[in-house]
Amino acid sequence: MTDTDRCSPGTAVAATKPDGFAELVSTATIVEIAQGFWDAYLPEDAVLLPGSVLPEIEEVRGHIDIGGSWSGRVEISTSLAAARRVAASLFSLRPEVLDQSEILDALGELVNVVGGNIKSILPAPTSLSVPQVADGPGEWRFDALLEREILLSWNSEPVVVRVWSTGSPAAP
Amino acid sequence: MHALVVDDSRAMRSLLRSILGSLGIDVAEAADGRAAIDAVEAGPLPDLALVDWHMPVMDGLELVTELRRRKEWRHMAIMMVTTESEHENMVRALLAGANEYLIKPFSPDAVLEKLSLLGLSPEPVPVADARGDDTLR
Repeated sequence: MTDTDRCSPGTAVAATKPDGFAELVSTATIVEIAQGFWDAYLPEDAVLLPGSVLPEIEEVRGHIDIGGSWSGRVEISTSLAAARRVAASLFSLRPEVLDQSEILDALGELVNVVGGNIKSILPAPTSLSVPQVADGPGEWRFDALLEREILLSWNSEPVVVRVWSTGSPAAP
Repeated sequence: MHALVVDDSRAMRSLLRSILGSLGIDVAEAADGRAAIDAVEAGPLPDLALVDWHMPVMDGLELVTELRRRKEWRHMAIMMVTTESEHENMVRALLAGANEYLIKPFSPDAVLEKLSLLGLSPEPVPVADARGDDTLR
């Protein structure tokens, strides 16, 4: 993450007109995509439930950018404990032996899978960035419209999926 | 059987190593397309390359194209393993020389099914034998 990506807590604002993300991708579809990751890679412990409150501290975060006919960002944040358990499953290691780079790498793959599958629903042409991940306090600076904020819970740990829209270059 | 897993995610390489290892397949890893070319040149020649699409340095599509340029590598099976599920991208990868296409997220059974479609059906080995030293950490 670069310095310009990070800022003190604040509110993102709409920068450009979104291109009908709400009509293109439903919340249920995003949840289904996220659930697909858990079904595939954590099948013995795969139940994602609706969450009720935003976590006070989002300990680890990752995002991936989509460009093309629709442009925006898919961001996932979660607790360190949840990210550690996801990483443990992907690495086939005990959670306690994982280092921070392995935890963030696994979070990056989660972001890649969720963002990539959202991208596949959007009208072509679209492109996908490589995922970016970070831990610790702070937020991504991304001046865009918050299209969706989905609160999920996995074993009582928060998982938050956000989709930001910067609109479409093709839009009038 | 030898496989080369090419993905910039260590977690994904580890997962595929675990799945393929449980099938008795020897696995080498590369973090990008350029490193994969180096690994293939260094040998041993893999029977199968599993290739992510989005990677730094050299992406998966470029890698497939490069691999297919070399006559001596033409027998290597190539499976794209990616979130790129749009039809036109699948066609691009197949036209570039990929033999199969596996969309993330995938189950171990899906990997096995794709190996079968490629005519690569390894004998499963006991899980304890397939685990690497990392599981002892």
